[in-house]
Amino acid sequence: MLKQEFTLKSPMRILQKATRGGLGNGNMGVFMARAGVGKTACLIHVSLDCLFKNQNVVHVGIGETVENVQVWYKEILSDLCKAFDIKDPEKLQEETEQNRIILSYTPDTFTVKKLDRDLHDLEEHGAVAPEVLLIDGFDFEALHSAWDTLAAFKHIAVKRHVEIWFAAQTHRDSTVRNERGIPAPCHDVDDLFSVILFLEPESDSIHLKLLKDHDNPVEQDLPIKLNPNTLLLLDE
Amino acid sequence: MKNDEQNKLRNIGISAHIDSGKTTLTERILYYTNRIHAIHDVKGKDGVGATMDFMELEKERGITIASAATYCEWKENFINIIDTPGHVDFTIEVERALRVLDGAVLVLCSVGGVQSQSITVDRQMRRYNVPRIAFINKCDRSGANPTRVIQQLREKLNHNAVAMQIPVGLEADLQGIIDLASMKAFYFDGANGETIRIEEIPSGLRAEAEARREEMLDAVSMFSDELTEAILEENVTEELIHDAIRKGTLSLSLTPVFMGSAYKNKGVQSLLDAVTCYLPHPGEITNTALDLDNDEQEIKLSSSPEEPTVALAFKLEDGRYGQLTYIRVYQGKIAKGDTLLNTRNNKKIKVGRLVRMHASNMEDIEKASSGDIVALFGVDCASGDTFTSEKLHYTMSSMHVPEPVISLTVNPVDNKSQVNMSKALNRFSKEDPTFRSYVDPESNETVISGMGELHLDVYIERMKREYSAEVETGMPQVAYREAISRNSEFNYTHKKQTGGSGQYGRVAGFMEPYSEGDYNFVDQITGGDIPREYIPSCDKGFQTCLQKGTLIGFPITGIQITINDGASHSVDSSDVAFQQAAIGAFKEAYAKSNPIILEPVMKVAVEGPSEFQGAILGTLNQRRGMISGVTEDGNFSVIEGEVPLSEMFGYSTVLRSATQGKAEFTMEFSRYKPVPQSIAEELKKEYSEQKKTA
Repeated sequence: MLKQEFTLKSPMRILQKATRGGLGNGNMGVFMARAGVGKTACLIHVSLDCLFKNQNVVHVGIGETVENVQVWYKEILSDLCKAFDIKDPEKLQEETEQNRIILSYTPDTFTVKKLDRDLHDLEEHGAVAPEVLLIDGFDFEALHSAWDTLAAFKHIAVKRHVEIWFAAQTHRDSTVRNERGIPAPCHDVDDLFSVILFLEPESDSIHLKLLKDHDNPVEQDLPIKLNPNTLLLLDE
Repeated sequence: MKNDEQNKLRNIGISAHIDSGKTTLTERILYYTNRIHAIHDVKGKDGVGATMDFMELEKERGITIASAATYCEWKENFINIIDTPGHVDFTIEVERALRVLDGAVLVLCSVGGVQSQSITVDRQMRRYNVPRIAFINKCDRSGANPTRVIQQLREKLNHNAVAMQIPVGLEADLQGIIDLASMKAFYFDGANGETIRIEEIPSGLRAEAEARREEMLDAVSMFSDELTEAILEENVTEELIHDAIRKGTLSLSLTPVFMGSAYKNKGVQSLLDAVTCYLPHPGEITNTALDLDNDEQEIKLSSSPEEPTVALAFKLEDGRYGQLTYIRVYQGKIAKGDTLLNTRNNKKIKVGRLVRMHASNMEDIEKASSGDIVALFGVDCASGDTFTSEKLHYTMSSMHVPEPVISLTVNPVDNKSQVNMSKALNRFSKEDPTFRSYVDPESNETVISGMGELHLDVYIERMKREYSAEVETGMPQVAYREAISRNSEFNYTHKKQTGGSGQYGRVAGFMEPYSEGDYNFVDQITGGDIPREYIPSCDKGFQTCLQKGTLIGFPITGIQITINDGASHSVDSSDVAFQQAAIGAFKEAYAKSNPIILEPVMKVAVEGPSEFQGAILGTLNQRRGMISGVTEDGNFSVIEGEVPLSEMFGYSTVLRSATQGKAEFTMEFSRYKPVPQSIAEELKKEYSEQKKTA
């Protein structure tokens, strides 16, 4: 029940339409927003959308413990169950856990090479081949060579035929944008991303703006408004 | 105990991951508080063993199995220490200890840091609202990194952990510690570190000490406006710092962190100072009981010794001095010759000998007051019983007791062992509520059940050693359950006419899956279709069926049965007839409800060097494990997942060989889950073969 309703109301549906089928294997996408707007929640929405379709998801938390990420999922699922008046959130939670693995790294020891090795271990010894990778907590600004690191991620996406979704934090006072309108911190690395989305908080909703859609011209004013509590599509 | 004496009392637990050095630390505490006069190691070369590990088995395995309470004095303060086990199979011991404690020291290894068992223990402490301070032990070990451990306390346990000290030197070069409140360096001289030398901070460490003190003041000032003001006015005193830390610790918002090496006799006395300075006395803790005369209404207990007595028996031991019952007095006082009421069975007991325990030695005392942890002799009771003055009828809130998940058969080899085994089982079941034993009516064999393989192993060893009961054990058996997966209706008539008065009863209704408990009976009979007096008979009949499912003979759980129609006969209906009708109705509906087999699934955490991560994942995957998370920290990985208990037998051997003995694991019961179809078929086949041969 929830799966069907969620699938209908998930912002991923409209995104998939807008982006003519979604992100696609071998590609990378990013949710950009200021702190506290809902980047992690959006990643988890992407994850749930895939999990409900029985896809394998690996959620990478950099600087987040496994337990904290689990709590995120629990909270979001519980909010969704409330929104759709579902009585048994635990059962759904169990179902989503079947195909989800959380990898947690400390920021100072994380490397893409390590991630690649862990994905190899999971596939080789754990019999789990992820179809979607979510990277939360990657600091786009801390790295002097963000492009190189993201290029290494891109290599993983291509090699392992996976979609990779990131969350990138923007700053209220930053006006830096490249000529294609992509704000910092993704302005120097936008060529590596196939889809770039921007979450703009409004008084009673969150406006999801599509800034990049593969090589297609972007329809600037997509009518994607999300409920700020559940991040589900608001009925127009 | 007068109020000022109570203010000086601390009831503390020392809890941590196995091999973090808890027992060594306790041993040093006892030495510095003059309770013992020589130091022994856990796995002592001198063959004596640490004082707190007083059970033979503990000495042999180098682990602490049963909690031992001990009492000591430090700088005019009185400290009761409960040494708690570090292995997850014995968490009931840890939980019991936490129930009676007012504060705790969380011991962490400076190399291993926050390991999975530390997380479990910390969760338990949080459940009982136990304020804690942390001690980073083994700073003399190669790879020691207290800063990393503090970071882990923050990240993994969500503690507001603040270093109160920094080490002078580390690893083999560990010389002493710098106290950030007094800004002095402490060195521990003498053969056993008993002489404290206080000096100025070495110049090379001054800058670091100042920076860390600033961080500490920053965190601690959150709990005291006075300290904040003093910081602004550059007028900070040690007393203001101590007060603020105390406030933060008692409100569970701050975890002050101390460090040292118990084994190398460094930092233990400073930790004792911290225990008396920051952890609460019994009067600062709110304890409640349930009033049995007033619908179990919650009653706040007073720490005053003048009030009627309320005490909890939290541990039983059968040692060389006879049966010993450890109690915590919560309210009032207990004196030799007093008469108390055991509110579980309303039996009166007379207080004979009253003692304070010091590991396996004891001292006789005349009386004990609220807050005290003491032991009674010759009292017949079970662990968890409440004793009160005769005028009260209170019970302390029940402790969280998990259900056993594993069982095995034990057969005594001869008659003597048979007698001794029953004595041992009787004792163990009283001591440990997670340990159960019963005789299987079909096989006539004795079955013991508990929380894990090691848990049962230890009791089997204890039977041999303490009771000379030689037993042979069967294969471990998982506690499967049966459940229904869909609704179904029943309408069954039980009719029997064999001369004389017959039996007649008709029961109709439906059964459905139930997630809020094991069983619920709903009576929707109206108009007397089933006479009122036979409704309990129906309930009883259904409950009979729940004890043994038809798939593999295990209990049925998670079921709600509603009766909404029926019929009776004025002569032939009876209690037995309706019980039989319910049994018939159950059988009819159960088969239609798509019954399934559930198995206990364990939450497993395996920790080891990252180079073995693949190997560890492989071992879990081969055991039908579902990996839920992998945490990497430097070259160390923790792999968490859920694995069916039936697949975990002998896992420690497999893990050892897959990781050259460098990884370890802990597990605890998580939930019951349906078994995969192929395994369900195997289990059913086994059961039907068993039935044929029986």
